Amino acid sequence: MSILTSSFVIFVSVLLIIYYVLPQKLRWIVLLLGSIVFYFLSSRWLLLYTLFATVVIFVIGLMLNKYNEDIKNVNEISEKEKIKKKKKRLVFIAVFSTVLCIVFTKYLSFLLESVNGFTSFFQFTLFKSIPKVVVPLGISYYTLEAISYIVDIYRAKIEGEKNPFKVALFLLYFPKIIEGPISRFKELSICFYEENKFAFRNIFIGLDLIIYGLFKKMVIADRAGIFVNSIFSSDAHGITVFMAMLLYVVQIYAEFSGCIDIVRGVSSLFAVKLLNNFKRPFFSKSIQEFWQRWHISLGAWIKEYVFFPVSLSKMNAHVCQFCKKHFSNYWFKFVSIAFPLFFVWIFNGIWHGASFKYILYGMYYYVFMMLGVLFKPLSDKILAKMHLNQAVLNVWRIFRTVILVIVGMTLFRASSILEFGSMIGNLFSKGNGILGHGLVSLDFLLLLLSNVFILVVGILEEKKKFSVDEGFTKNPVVRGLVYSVLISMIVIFGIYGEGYDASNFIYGAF
Amino acid sequence: MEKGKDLILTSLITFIVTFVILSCASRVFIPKWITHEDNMMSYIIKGFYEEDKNSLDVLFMGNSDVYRGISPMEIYQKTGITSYNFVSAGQRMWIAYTMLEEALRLQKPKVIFFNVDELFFTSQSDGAAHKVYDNLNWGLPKIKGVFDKNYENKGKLSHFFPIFAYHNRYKDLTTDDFKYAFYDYSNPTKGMDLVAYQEPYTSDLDYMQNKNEEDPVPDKTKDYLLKMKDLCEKKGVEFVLVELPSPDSWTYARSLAVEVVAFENDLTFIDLNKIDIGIDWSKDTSDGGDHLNIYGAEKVSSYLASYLKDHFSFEKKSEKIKKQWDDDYQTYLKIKEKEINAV
Repeated sequence: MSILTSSFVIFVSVLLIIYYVLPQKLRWIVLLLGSIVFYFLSSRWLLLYTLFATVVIFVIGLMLNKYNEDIKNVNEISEKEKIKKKKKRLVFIAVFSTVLCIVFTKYLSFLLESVNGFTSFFQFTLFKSIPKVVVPLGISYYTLEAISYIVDIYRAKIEGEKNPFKVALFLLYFPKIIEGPISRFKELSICFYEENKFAFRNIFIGLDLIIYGLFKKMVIADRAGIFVNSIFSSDAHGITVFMAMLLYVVQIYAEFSGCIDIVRGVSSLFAVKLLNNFKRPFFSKSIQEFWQRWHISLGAWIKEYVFFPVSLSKMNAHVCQFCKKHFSNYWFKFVSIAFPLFFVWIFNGIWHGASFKYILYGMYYYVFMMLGVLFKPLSDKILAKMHLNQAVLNVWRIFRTVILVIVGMTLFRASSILEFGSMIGNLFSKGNGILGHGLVSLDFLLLLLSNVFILVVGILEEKKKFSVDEGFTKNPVVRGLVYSVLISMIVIFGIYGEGYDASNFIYGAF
Repeated sequence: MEKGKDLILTSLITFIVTFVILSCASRVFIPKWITHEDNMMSYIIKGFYEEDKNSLDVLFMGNSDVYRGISPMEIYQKTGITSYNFVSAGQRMWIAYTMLEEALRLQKPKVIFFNVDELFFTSQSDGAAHKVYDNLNWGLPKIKGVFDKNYENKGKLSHFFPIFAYHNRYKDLTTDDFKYAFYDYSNPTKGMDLVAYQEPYTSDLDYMQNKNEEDPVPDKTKDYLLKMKDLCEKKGVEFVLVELPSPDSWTYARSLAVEVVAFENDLTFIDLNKIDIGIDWSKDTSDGGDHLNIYGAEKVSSYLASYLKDHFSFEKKSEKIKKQWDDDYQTYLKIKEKEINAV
């Protein structure tokens, strides 16, 4: 069931009525049943896999709980160490098997094809047929949340939930299962069981986010997508290619942030506050800042469960010690950042998809980030000598970041590394204009005006004068007028109807 | 802090303002079915709403055969009887029933003639149906029609807000779309798509002679016919079946099948394919025997005028209506002259 269908609207409406009719204590059960129904309607019997995995995660959580208790109750250090080892083994098995499941469902064909690619050098194919595994809905998001749940209990940051149904609700909560945001057990638990009171404010904020998200998705993203789809994988040149690259960035931002807005809006109707995944990423002055503002929940997850463990690992300690001994302080500092970040960006790349293209995508940002760190002292010196105005400098930095992101996103969108290379090559030859590729002048005007609107909203949010998260306005008349204009814009200028696939969300595939 | 009354106020404003914007946008975005290629559907249906309430003596209903084959103005000129072709192209019986309900909501005619050849079509005709709903006013008949179990269609909402079906036309809008969005669709031809061009019918002139075939009326469409009959009876309107001359779509088997249905249900059936009204198939058809042109329509209208005079008596019209129709007749003559000269 796509979130852009009338059946989803009916589903949410019915659920909402039941939710608020029931006493506060029972409301989470409605969300759980609703989530199971939603998952079943979307993925049919793959639900069983998810439910089974949930039971396993719940049991492991209880076992870790017990170990945590044992550590508290045992006085002898050797006994404590023994339990810690057991705990470590258990969490390793849990994380490993969870990762194995996602590898089997999502990455198996990539791995087998890679092996075949390697063996083809020796004139034979190892795997004659590559099995096609059906990927359960939201498997990537589900896996990351499951790992965070297990690891947080392991770190004794949270207590393992004693009610298996509550673990199921955390992992399957229907608004976030499609495109995230990747949530944490502790934060969601507070919303599910304590802050789930009816408030008109939540309803208004929910509606604001849903309408704003629909506008971004249907008016901007899907319109830009028409041009992008006709240019990528074609033999376009020059300005045509550049426009496709630019519009792809517009498309992916409007679509992903639009979907997150809708998801957060739906969740807000149930008084469950989900994290915002985007914080005006195109105001970033560096790649590093961009990734702190783009897909925030993924960045935060990677930081906590990849960056910190690698940073604190023995391996990193050895590498740092080696650098300290043999290189200058400058290089030691550089390597102490570069080493764990390498794993972060490899992970980021692989999480996005099963192909070398995505690994390169992760490495692309890694390289530029490291170059930034490497040349920071030099660029600081140069800029200090130039005595540039801070505002001009900021504009330049934003421009530079945007250009790097445009190129990075082109790699993300291209069907292969080869296509990416050819597009970048074609960029410097004469193009044949931007019209005649699915969009007319009026479409470009609409895209321009809609993006100016988003930009103005972004600037106001950046200056903390306004926030969609806080609601468009508190004036009911103005709010009604804003709704009317946005809804009418969506109905009149939205891309939908014959041939349009409402379920086609870019990040829905992860 | 927002309260319940804020939600009500916001909802109310959103509903009203959005309704107004989308209704206006729908009028602009609907393709303007105002040419022969579009079967003049906007003129035919919207024009019907421009007629004074309860001012029509006779209604002609059915499909494209009617709007090409009957000229209400010729009948008026001969008899003073006011009539209208409230019809649609590619019509199916479920649409016919909806249009009958809508017609009887606004008019109280003495007799309704229904052209029967659509009784033999059970398949969908979505595009043609949308043209009807694009122009039909909001009301119970429209709601019932859209949700009729036999009318399979995508996007029921687009039947009430055509903007949902036609929003992609923003690229193709012309000044005409704005001009005709809030236009007076008064129809001086009274639902006739008047054409004068000729394309002779050259096949077998004895098309009603093959008596070996069978082509019974399907139950699905017969049910609607009987529902139409019941509705007319309930409203005190005479319901007469008719089939206009059309060698392309009519056969002896079909004629016989309708005769059986008419006999079983005590209905009058006039098959103009069996009666010699002087149709010259080398001149009186616009498309090789499927539809008539104005020359054929004049002959059919002449026959129907006599039939109406012989079988019914109609009340005299008020001076206001008479004047309106006289004026419309003058406009009709101009349109006819223009069409004839255009050939």
